[in-house]
Amino acid sequence: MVARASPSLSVELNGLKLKNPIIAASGTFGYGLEYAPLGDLGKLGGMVTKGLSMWEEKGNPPPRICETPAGMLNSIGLENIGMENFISQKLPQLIQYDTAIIVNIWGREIDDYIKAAERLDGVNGVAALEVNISCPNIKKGGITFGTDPSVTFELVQAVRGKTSLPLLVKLTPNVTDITLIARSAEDAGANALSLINTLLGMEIDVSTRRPSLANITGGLSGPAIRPVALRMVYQTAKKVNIPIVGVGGISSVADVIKFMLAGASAVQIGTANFFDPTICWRLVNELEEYLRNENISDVNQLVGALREE
Amino acid sequence: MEKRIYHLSLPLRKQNSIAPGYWLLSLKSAQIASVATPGQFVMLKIGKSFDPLLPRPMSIHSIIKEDNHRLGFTILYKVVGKGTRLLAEKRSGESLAIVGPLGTGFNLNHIASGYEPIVVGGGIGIAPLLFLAHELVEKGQTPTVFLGANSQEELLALDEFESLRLTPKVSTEDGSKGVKGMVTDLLASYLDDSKGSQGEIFACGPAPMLKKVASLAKSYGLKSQLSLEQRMACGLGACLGCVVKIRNKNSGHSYQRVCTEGPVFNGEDIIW
Ligand SMILES: Cc1cc2nc3c(=O)[nH]c(=O)nc-3n(C[C@H](O)[C@H](O)[C@H](O)COP(=O)(O)OP(=O)(O)OC[C@H]3O[C@@H](n4cnc5c(N)ncnc54)[C@H](O)[C@@H]3O)c2cc1C
Ligand SMILES: Cc1cc2nc3c(=O)[nH]c(=O)nc-3n(C[C@H](O)[C@H](O)[C@H](O)COP(=O)(O)O)c2cc1C
Ligand code: FES
Repeated sequence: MVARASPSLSVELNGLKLKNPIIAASGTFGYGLEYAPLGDLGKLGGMVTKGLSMWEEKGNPPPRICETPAGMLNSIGLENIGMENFISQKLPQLIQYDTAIIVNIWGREIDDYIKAAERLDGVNGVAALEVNISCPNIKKGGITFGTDPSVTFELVQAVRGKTSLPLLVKLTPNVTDITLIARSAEDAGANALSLINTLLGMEIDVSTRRPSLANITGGLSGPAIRPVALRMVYQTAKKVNIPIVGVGGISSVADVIKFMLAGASAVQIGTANFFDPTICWRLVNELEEYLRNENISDVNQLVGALREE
Repeated sequence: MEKRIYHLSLPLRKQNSIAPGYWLLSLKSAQIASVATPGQFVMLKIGKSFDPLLPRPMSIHSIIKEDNHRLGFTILYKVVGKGTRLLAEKRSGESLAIVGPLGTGFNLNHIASGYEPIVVGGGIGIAPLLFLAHELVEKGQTPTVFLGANSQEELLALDEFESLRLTPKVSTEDGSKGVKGMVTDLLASYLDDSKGSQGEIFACGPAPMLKKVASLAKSYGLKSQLSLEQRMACGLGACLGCVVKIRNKNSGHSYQRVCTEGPVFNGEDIIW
């Protein structure tokens, strides 16, 4: 029997080339190096850094996490080492690996995002920016940037003007109609959209009658949110013409395929890294195996291939 | 040095209850056993199900050796919730997904002769201390050991310490064995009697106990190394979920990760 040719796994997100569609999600893979003892980062399609700000951020007091049915809540408070420390201490080690390094950025006002984009423009080794718009905007009384279509437009347009790097905009699911925000980000010049970030949630410890998190509320992630994320990817794919990166509860190759069928061109793996720390590598292999078994020559054939008649 | 961390599916070699609600399990892994140091831990995923979703942190209790080869390790745990309850149902031959060894354990680099290691364990906090005691004895030290529990039944691994030719000083809260009271009371009167000793305290146990140990160490001018607990998701330093408040050198505080900078911290640095 003649061995079938290897299926093609590479994808292109409107200017960002990836060797395969498996990306580690922001905040769940540290600065990448934390997972380097467990596998070759160069085998992954990409990795997104922990959300970086122009300053060092201490984050929220503990307890910061809490397990929930098939999920977890977190209120890390965007702790990070700051942009300069990332560039001088982490990036030089990271660029040894042949993978797309996507830097996730956030701020408290639009100007913070602009500064981050300016700082990273032309920095060797950065493949793309992912703009986290699920943060409170202090100039607007703490309302999350990404819940308002016009603020989203303003923010993404401002960042777009400051960088030649591919721009992924990461959307919050805590909105009434995510497709409106998605359209604003597209109109403002985003190359691609990542969805979804965590869903706002809460847990209470009955024995102490206290909230389980010091911050009281936190973001829900993990398998519990997968159907919500899948629905949002599906709806958004129908409304925008730029590629979508699906995120939310993915923990198996079947999940990867579901998101691609719903319209995602690539996926990010978040919480699953915690309970299965070599999952990203395994998904690359299992996706290839799936394509080979199904006689699919190119992974892009899965994108949006949902049967709806 | 490059960190060696393994993600392995390990068959359970043996598991038995050593007291009501307390279990000792043995896992075979020469890889983990040969690089682990006292105070380090592993993350243990109990079953493939999403409930419980996250792996549980468990200290390395002892190293299984045969002819001086490190073959595997044991975990000593207390059943407190869903995860540990399910873990106790596992039988020999079943597999567990393990990540480890993880964290920064006890620092023994500066240990020299003329120096008294004082080891203090409360309740299930004795789990990492047997491995520590082994290592200290191997380094030619004779640590002074204090162990406390609710009752005689819950005084775990006493004979293991004794087989190292150590004679733990023991307290129980109900007085069923040793001195009635808290292990920190025992420690306090010992430190009072042996003023001026050149030593260092190594402790693991519930937070109120560790807080008391830190303050005793401070008042007797001793250094202390305390093993802390915090909820964890990754165990690898990536999620930033497991932090505790640590005093900065110059001023103020920072959050440090129990899974990476810890679980062992200097007592004087911890902000309770
Ligand atoms: C570094 C480290 C080493 C440990 N070593 C041991 C050991 O050797 N033996 C032992 O019996 N226990 C040890 N623990 C505590 C052990 O991890 C918890 O008892 C266990 O996670 C409880 O899980 P559960 O599902 O039974 O309880 P649940 O109450 O159902 O757990 C719910 C959540 O809370 C977390 N949690 C509950 N109690 C603790 C705790 N005390 N510390 C941290 N997280 C907690 C769980 O991990 C889980 O995410 C250690 C903890 C840490 C941080
Ligand atoms: C502990 C933790 C930290 C996170 N930090 C960030 C972050 O800094 N920036 C960001 O855009 N998303 C962050 N996220 C969101 C994830 O990237 C992802 O969008 C979300 O968790 C849903 O995917 P999952 O269910 O696969 O985890 C974080 C998630 C978790 C669980
Ligand atoms: S458990 Fe994730 S950083 Fe410590």
